[in-house]
Amino acid sequence: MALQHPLVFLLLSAALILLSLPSAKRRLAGWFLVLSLAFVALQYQSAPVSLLIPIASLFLQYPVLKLMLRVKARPYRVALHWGWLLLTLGGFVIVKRYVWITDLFVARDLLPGTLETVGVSFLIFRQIHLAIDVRDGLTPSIRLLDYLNYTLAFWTFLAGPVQRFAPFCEQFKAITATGAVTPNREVLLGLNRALLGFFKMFIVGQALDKLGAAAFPTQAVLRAVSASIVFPLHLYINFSGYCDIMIGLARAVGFTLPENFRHPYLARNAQDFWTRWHITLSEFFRDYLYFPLLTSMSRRFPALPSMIVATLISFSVMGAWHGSDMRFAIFGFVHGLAVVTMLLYQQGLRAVLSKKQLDWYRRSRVINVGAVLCFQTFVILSFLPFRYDMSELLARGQLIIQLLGGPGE
Amino acid sequence: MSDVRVALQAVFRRVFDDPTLVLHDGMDAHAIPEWDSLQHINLIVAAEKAFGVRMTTGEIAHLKRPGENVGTFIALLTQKLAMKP
Repeated sequence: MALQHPLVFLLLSAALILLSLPSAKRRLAGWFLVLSLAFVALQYQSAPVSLLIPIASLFLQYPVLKLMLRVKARPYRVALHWGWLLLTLGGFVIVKRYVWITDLFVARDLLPGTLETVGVSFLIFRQIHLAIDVRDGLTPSIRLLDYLNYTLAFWTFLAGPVQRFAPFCEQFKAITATGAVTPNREVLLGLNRALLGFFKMFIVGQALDKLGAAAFPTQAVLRAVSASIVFPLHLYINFSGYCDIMIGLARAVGFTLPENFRHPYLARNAQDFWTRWHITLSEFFRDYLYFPLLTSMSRRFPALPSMIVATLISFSVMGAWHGSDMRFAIFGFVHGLAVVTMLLYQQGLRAVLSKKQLDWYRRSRVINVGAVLCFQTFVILSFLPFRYDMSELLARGQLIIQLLGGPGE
Repeated sequence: MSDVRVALQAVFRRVFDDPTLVLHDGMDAHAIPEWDSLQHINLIVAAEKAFGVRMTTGEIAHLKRPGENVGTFIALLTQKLAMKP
């Protein structure tokens, strides 16, 4: 159910008021769970049977976590972790209908029909993070109430930001212990942020939506270029607006959620971009896929090929996580290639430039602006397959070739 | 200066190719521009070899989180060395 639905809006407003009350803050865990369950139920209102997916996922993982906490020997904890992970990821590719993966193992007729999976992709992030921290002895205990509040937290359930368990629990504990009223300044700053988010999502986002669809200029080339630029901009405005709303709401009641965007349109290369765009997602994949992959490869193989393989795999998986269509995995792979190219380029620069020259290169405004323009063009191009189908893309490519004086059709 | 700090400083100097680098507890990735994700793993693998220990996924990720620094790195290595048979 979309964020602008009156019931969801009403629930978020009720959450804001309720969690502001000092008496509720002293019983925060209970009230928070009630609000989160109501929010999740609303999201699954049109397909209540699908609610079994997150429920089964939670009730499968919690006993495994408790068991891992009891088991002293690390090899057994590792075995438990991998057993749970394979089961969960297997279930994920089935319910999300990743047919290009499931076709390798099972006939399509045996797969369930289309199911509602709102929030499941993000739920898995929180679960994997918890499982690894428990397996590696970094989380000594987990209460059921904390587990449910963390995994179902209404302000991060739909689309992040991906918060980590320790800061979540620390904030909960601190607010419950004091029952402190959030200072007025924080409430106002939080509400201001949420309002900005609503403005971005529902005013600017709607306008961009219309602009992208409109027959803007009469010339086809300009229309193609403007629509191509508007699409990633629309994505950014919508998603960052959603994050502004949730981060703002949380701040107004005394919580700090991690930031998810930091001016991605100013990124000068692919590595820079993924530290500015959907930051908590990039950090998750960095910590739980790229790092372990690169570490285990670097222990056995030379650093350069390890880096190339680990980067391409990590980015392809991150792309595939965005959607079951194979285009998403290819999108990730292309961004991985851009990161590898940039890392090799940087290594080359370090080899030929002195420290002083390298410092100048990094600070140079001309080089910065040039790099941003080149890289942002790449970003726009990389989003095109999600905006147009292949035949449309080819037709628009020909138009641009004609514009540049090429033969065209 | 403790043995762990001296040995880790040698690892840092080698990985970042800077023989003048001096470690202090508060030092983090902001203090060394080259300390990106790739160099983080080069550091981990070089430290594992130098100290004869193994870091877990959770520990490696933990070291990269905001607020973590050279002090945390030294504490983790000291703890791992103490647990070594």
